[in-house]
Amino acid sequence: MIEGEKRKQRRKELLRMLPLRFTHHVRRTTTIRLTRLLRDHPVLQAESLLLVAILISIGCGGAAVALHRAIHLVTHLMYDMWGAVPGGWRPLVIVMTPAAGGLVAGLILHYMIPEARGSGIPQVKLDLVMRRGEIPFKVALGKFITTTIAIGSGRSLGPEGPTIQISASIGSTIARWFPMTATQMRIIVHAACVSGLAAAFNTPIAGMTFVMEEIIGDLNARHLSYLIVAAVGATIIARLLLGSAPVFEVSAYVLGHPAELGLYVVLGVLSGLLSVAFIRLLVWSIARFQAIALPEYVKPALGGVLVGIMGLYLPQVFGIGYDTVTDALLNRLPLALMAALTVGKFVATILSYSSGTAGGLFAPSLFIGAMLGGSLAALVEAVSPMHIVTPGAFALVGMGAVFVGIIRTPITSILIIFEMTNDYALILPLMLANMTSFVLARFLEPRNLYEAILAVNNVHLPSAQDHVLLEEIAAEEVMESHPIVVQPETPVAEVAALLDQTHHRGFPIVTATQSLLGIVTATDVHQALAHDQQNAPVKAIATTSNLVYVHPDHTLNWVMQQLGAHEVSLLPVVTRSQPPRLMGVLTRADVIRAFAQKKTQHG
Amino acid sequence: METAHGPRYPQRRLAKYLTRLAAQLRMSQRAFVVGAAVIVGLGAGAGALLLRWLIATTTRVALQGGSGLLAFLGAFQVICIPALGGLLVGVMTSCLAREAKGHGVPEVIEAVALRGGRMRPVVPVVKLLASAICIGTGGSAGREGPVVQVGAGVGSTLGQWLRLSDEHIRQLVACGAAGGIAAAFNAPVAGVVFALEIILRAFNPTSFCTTVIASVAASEMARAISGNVPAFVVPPYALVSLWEFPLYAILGIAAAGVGIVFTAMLYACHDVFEGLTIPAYLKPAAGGLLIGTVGVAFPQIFGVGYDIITQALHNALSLRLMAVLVVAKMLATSLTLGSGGTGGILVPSLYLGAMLGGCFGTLVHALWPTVTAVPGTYALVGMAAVFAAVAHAPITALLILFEMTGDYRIVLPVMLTTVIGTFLAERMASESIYTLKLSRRGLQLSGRRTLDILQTMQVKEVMETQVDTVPTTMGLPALARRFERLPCQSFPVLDARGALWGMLGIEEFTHALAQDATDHLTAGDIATTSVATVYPDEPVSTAMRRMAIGDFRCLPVVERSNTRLLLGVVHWDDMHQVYQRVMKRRSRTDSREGP
Repeated sequence: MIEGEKRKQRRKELLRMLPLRFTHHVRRTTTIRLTRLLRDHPVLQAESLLLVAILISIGCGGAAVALHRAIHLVTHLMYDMWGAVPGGWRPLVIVMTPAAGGLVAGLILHYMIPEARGSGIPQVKLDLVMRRGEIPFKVALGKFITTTIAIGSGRSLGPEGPTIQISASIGSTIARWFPMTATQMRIIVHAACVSGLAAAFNTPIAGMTFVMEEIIGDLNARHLSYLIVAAVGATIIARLLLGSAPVFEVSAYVLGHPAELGLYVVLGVLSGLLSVAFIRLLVWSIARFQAIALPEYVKPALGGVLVGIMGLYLPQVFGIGYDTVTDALLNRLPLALMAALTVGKFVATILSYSSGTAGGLFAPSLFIGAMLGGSLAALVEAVSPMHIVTPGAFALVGMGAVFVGIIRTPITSILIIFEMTNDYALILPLMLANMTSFVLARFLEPRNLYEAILAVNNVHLPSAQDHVLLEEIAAEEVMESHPIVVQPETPVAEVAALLDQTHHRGFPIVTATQSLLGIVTATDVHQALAHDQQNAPVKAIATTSNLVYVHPDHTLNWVMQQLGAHEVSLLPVVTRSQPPRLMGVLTRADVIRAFAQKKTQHG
Repeated sequence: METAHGPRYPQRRLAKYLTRLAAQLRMSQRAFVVGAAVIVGLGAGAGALLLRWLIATTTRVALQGGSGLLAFLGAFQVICIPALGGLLVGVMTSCLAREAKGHGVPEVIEAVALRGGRMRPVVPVVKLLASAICIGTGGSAGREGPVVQVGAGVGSTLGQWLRLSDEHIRQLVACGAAGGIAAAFNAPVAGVVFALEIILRAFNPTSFCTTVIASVAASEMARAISGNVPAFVVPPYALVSLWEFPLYAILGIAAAGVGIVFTAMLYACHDVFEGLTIPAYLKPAAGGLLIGTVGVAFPQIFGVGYDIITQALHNALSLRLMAVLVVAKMLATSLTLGSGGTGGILVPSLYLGAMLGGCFGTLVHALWPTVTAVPGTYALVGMAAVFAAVAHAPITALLILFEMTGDYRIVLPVMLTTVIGTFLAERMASESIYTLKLSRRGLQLSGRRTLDILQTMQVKEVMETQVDTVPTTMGLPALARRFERLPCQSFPVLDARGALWGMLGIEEFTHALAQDATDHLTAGDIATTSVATVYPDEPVSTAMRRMAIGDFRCLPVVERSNTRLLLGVVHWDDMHQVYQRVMKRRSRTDSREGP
């Protein structure tokens, strides 16, 4: 009776549990099946990645718009505050606003999210290399807040670089919800960067080419489709929320006299020189600020004070400054102001950036370029009989030319100007000036802005060049051509002694005729000693078949591959004759040393 | 010193200066290349303008000739003129330069990938004349193939004449292509991107600079001579509502379909005409006859077809006509190029896209007139999508559309349809219309930045022609002596007439020795007769793949037309050695450019 009760209860319990178990089971198996399907089915995989790309493009587009709105809001608050302050106190408040903003941003950066410092683009590149594109969400959050505070309080920086980092972080976060391989993760982060830039500037094509030129480093990216989809998605969102007007409204420009083309080349030269000066001074200034013995979070405030003082005299240097750029494009600014702003924005940007807050350099370089071009056109008008039909055109072309000199993305620099203004008429002067500036800047300063900034902190990102360097060196140039060798009959004990003396990890075994018989490694010897084989001939314990070796004309790239693929530490270099004759040996250290030497030679 | 020296020997100082300058110039070929790029750009621009003039002239002559000399033919002259043009083209290409056949771009890609950009100088000249005749007499093809090949030819010739390195010749070839596109379509940016995306298939700052210079020079020249107007003048089209995005996505899918069918049809026509047993110079004439027949019903398919595209963009064509023209134009272009006529496929693809988009737009606009744009908008978007699907080059497609129409407002739909078109087309066919021609010859370019070195080398470069052969009648004792001397070799076995019988390696030999009755066995009995062979013009990678599949150490090389005629053998080791040597040499020449 009691037994029966118990059994009934058990059955009841089991019945109650069953649906739970069942659903749990079903859920688990469907998840697994879905994951497998996504992972294994090539077409579905590509399409699901496309869906993820669309998803992140919406998120990133929204984030870009939010940042834009937030900066606007804070900037207006700041102006309202300045207006409300009584006259006598106003200069002090104006000076102190960027300083206070700098302090707040500095504290957040120092204590909470150090990854959010700087422009964002070098950081994303670093994360792509070092962390396989896994960027935590707090980076997005921190970058958003610090950028808003820094630019809103008047720092002379731009929102585009931060948008890219915020987008990369959001994209990476969303992508982590799905099963992803490392390559797919990278694709998604690339797509997120495209979304960010496309939405920030309302420039879908330039957003795409920028990421291909600067972040991927290849214009023939295989995953172009995802980038385009991301660009379109983000741009749709941005246009829905902000309207589809281009960033700069310009009047219709014309190329007047063909001689103006010569003047555009001059503009290219000036832009190139100014860009190189900008990169060098920025790097110098970063190092200066780092050397100051103050707590890290005070330095942005220090920079803020200096920018504030400049802003007292030239209020146009504050913030992003696109209104001023539009004025220059519409030819509304006098020569003196534009010349002063070329220098003023230049200095203010360097101070703002190098003192260490969040903020990008796209907008400042466009600003400086517009002022430089505008100044040149106004100057030529003033001092020479040449009549320039539309001086604003020079401001426009200057934007692209300085941009390409600093950021070094030639195709983007052409397309971004074209897309930001919807004006195609100036394409030839633009191409000409950009090319001149690009060639000159690259000749004078081979590193681009981001490489230079990373190099201050001794960070070096791998480039395609490194691969080429390894291809350039042949094994025979590097190998040790008089290696210590052992004879096949040498007793193991003797080899052990030799190992101790030389601290080598192994020796090649050669016959009397110098032909390679095998390799004996420290491991072989230790095993032999453990089995009491001190007096055995070394050939009995060594590797003598399936030897891994290279020929003298093999390149170091191949050598590295062989070292890695077979997990050996010592690689004999032999002739192509049969049987192979030993010419030398190579170790990993030899390869690395040769690479480092070559690298320093190349500079 | 200076005052004493200066005025007295000015010429000596000048000479000294010039020598130093020359030395410096020789040291940095790069400076040279930049200068050469201007010349190449101007040359390519001139080529493009010349082609335009030649086509116009040929068209006029053909029409006048048609109404004059051929008047007796009446309606049949529509059929005869393209055939006559085809005959001329056929004679020219088969006598002077066979490379001038077809659409031109694959040949340039091949020259860049395989021969360091080297081309015969006669090719551009023949190409120019042949395509002018072909297009002018009604052949349905575009101008981009010829202008790219002409520009590339100018660059290659100049580079060879200046004795530049492979890398620099390649750059000048790309410059020529960029200049040609820029001048022909008044599209400088698209020219640059075309050269980088399709011709060089790689991007580096140096090649960017030179192509930009060439492109600017060419378009400046074209604009100075024929004015700065976009190729198509379109009304300001824009997105009407967000509901259009799904529609544009469907258009993208349709564009991918059209692109794939077009590529397949072009190569099918090519194969059919290749298989015909009539003389090569008659084939374009046969193609011309067929085009003429199509043209009797639909004269819109003749020539480049800019006017028809413009009509579609202005909503001036009926739904039925556009639907029929999609098929008719596709057929006509396939016949023109497949039969051996010359011309490009860019404008035909734009044409197909305009017709497809026009059809689609007419349909959806009739269904939902309030939320969709006029059909012309869809025609505009379709142009870029079909070209992207055909060429697998979305960025070039985007930019060429903007530059040809001067209209940027429609960017988002264009990007969306282009990417869907490319995505699906790449998924369903791994080769684009440009690279398919190469991949059929064993050159796998798609998706790869640079060509694998093994594909750039042909078997004949590495094969051994002094071959130890064995007659089928040789007995085992004699074979044993052979193998004693050369144990690791396989010998080709030849029959009494010297034809290849099979291959005999040490494995077969030892296997035969293990049998009971060995006395009467000969080489012919024990050799493997079902051997894999290669042709001398196949890439080394193909030979290696065949070796790997069958686990052979060496392969016999045989004549393409007579697969029993032994030309030599290739050994695995030889190929590997050559590979290493070339690899090293190439990396040296490349790195000399420096960053």
